[in-house]
Amino acid sequence: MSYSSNTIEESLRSNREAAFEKLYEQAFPGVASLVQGLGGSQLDAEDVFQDALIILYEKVTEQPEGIKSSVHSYLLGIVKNLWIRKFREDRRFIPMNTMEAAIKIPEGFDQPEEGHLRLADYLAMAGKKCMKLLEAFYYQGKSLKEIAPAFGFTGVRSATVQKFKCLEKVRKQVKEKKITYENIIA
Amino acid sequence: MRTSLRDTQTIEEYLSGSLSGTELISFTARLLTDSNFEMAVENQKETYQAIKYYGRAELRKEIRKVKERLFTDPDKASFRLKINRIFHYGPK
Repeated sequence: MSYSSNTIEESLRSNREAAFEKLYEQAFPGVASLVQGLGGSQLDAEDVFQDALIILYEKVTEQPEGIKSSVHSYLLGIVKNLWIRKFREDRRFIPMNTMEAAIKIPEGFDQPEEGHLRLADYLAMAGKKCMKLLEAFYYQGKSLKEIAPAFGFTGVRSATVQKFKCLEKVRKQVKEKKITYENIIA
Repeated sequence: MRTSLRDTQTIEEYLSGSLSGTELISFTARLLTDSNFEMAVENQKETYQAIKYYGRAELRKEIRKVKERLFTDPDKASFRLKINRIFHYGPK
């Protein structure tokens, strides 16, 4: 039942929902035990595990060379780091090996989630198709060649043009949001 | 591509660190003299951040769906039991 790192990384890129289901089933019990041992509840374990899956996903899509250790121990390492941040726990109480201590938690996992969700919802209103296109390219790290057929583009050229049009559209929203913000403050 | 789109593309290249030579020099010069352009660069930087947060929000929805399934599917009863035991009786 256990997966080598390679295949799970591959499937995170190609079929992430199936990959997440495997990871949830296989890696969550270990994380649950860890969190329980640290005095956390099941809900805490779920929250921190879901963040860890997102962080793992970003690492896999951003660095194609992948992670050096097994995916399960890497996830556990992320959870330990997140736990320290979340509860401002003293590092000494959560022993970590060199691999775990070297894990960097990306920006945006400290703030309450609602702030991001509001922004995401706001931007989703700017055009679902645009957001999906931008998300596929910039967040999922897919190539325009891969993306083009799914979005009905005839080729990479038209996909490129559309991608930058969408980027401008969102940038305009960012600008307008700022102006509204300034008005509120003033 | 129209000019504004080309600008957007150049800003992307600048932000990703792939501009060099004369292109980088003229870009930097414009940045110093054109405040609208400077603002566009700043806004575009935030745009990438926003796309990332959007991507995360979408991903989180997907992961929650997976979780829902694991905690309701009759075939996954042994998984649920395992988790239940951890929080009610401690690990192992």
